[in-house]
Amino acid sequence: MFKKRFFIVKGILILVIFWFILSYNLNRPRVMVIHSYSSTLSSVRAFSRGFDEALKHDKNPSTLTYYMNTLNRQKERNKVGSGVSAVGIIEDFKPQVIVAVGEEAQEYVTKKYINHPEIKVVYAKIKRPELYGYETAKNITGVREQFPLKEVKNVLLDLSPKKRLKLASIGDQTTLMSADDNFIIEHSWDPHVITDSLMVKDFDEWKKAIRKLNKMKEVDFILVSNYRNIKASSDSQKVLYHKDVIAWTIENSEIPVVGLYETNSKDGVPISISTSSYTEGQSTAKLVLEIIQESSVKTKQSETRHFLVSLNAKYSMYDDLKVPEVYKSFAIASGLYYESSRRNGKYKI
Amino acid sequence: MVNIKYKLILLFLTFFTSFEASAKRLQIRSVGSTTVYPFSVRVSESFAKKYKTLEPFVTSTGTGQGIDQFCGTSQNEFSPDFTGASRKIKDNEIQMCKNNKVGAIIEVPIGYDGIILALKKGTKFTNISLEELFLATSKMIPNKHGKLIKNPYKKWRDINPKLPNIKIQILLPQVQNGTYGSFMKLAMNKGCEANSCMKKLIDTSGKPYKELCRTYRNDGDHVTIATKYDLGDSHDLFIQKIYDNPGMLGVMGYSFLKQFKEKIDAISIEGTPPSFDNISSLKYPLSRPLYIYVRQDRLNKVEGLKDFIDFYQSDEISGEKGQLLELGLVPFNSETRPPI
Repeated sequence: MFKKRFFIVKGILILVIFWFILSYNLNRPRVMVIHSYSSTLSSVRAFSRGFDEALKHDKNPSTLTYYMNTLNRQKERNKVGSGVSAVGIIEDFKPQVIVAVGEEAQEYVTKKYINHPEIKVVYAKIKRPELYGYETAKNITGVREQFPLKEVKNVLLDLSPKKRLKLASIGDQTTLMSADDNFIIEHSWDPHVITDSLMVKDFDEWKKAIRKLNKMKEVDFILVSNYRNIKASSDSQKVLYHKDVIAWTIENSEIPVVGLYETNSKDGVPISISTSSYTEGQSTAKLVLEIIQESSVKTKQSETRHFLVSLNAKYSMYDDLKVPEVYKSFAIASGLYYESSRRNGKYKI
Repeated sequence: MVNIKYKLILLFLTFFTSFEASAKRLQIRSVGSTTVYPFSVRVSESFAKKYKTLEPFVTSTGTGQGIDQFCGTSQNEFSPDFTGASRKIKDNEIQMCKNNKVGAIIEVPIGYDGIILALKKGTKFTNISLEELFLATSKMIPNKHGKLIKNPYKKWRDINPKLPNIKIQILLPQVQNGTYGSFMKLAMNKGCEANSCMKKLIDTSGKPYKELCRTYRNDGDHVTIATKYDLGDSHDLFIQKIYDNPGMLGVMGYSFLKQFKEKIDAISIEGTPPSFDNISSLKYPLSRPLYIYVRQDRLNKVEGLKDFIDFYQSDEISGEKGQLLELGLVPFNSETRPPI
């Protein structure tokens, strides 16, 4: 009798626990994170770290992450395919909030959810949300990425004895680079000047551009950001390994090269001044939590102002480049000091 | 003494010109029409090879947006040096350039293009009149009493029993696109005027063409406007949509017919097919000239810009046997070439 009662109570207890777990999971807010790139990129990992840490909350949202991996999918139809897959997952997962990180996630996925009645969208790591028609959307907010160009101006003054610098920028011809170019040419660089902002398709053009800058211009620094889509030559569809582009540049440019993304120094760029992906991830998570709590979009847009200085040991190659010790200490302490970037100890051109 | 003086002047001039040369921007920048885009890309590639200089950076934005960037309010030294246009620049756009102190603009006609109605290769649909096209596309059309009614036509055969028994589906480019503007002007206005009731309404009501003739229907999917994403730089997805929907007519430039000849065909307009000869002789009703507009002040500020513009107009590029011929540009001949 006692045994029977014990089994009944045990059964009820299991059912209650099961019901509790089920209802808890069903009531957890669902957040779908779509990254344009793959998780192998350090900036993606840093963003995720900041995002996950800030998203820890009593509501404990259930998250699902999808990587579109568009850097390895150069053809338009492959990018479209990746976007279609993401939309399929969204339809199954039915999230309350979609976090779209990077340009392609907006272009191929979240643009379709403008003014969606049930789904809110939070964008991150894009510079021009207006390109996607977000400015009038009621269900969309996000963190607008900004190059910390004011800080770049100040750091460059620390690196050079000159008070007025001549700068040029160079990159590939991707939409990502077009947004960067736009940012660079529209920024007020006073007292410095931007002499050129070059966008090239292939490595021959890249080399030509660097040589022209060496020969014709009295440029003090070359700014780089995106160079992951440089074709090996004008008649080739093969994209050159990005670290090889930088390796050649560092060896052949008489002008110091400065990166605008934190990954640039990992690729071999002597010094990079960038926004912190980690804090961008944190700010994005805060917007997600706000949406979950308020059930609507309250903050229209936020920006991150934190900046990082990353260093590659190659900076010592430039005699004229005086990097203050504090930057080196900061980079080492933040894990942003890179000793080498060569593939298997040697790069091939 | 005179000789030393001469040498000093020469030295000064050499120094001055080399300083000037180094102060020039190194890369030409351009925006504009999606129709002109493939031509400008080809010219840029050939120019960089021939002149051993940097390839100009060419982007495709559509004619209207291109002119906005070319002459808009946010001008700086990196604003576009030239813009491609599949129509002539409008008076209000010239005024915008003046207001924003862009300075003199040079209009360079580069050749002819024909607006085609493309459809999936093999579809049995060969000819259409401009009036029939208007009756299929317009939001309001006249009934037999001459009163404007909502467009009732679902199939081409509803308009004319000789036309095929397939659903009316027309894919138009974006509104900002020059091809859209030219289509409205060349096809819709002419088609509207060809309809006697509409002609009467235009003559008597005094209402603008735009209101009467250029409002496309929005009932269902008979007329669709392509997105920027469909058009892209290369029209790939635009063509794919036509290919995937047999019977759908896509409005685009003649050059795309050459590029995608395995997938699409073009129907004749008023019995005239869009051929090279018909476009260059202006027999094809939807022929139009293409242009690039260049900022004159940039000729001395951007390395190679003057050479580039000369190269664009050279026989090697846009002449009767020029490189752009294979991309579908119909070149001017000595009689049809308009002045710069």
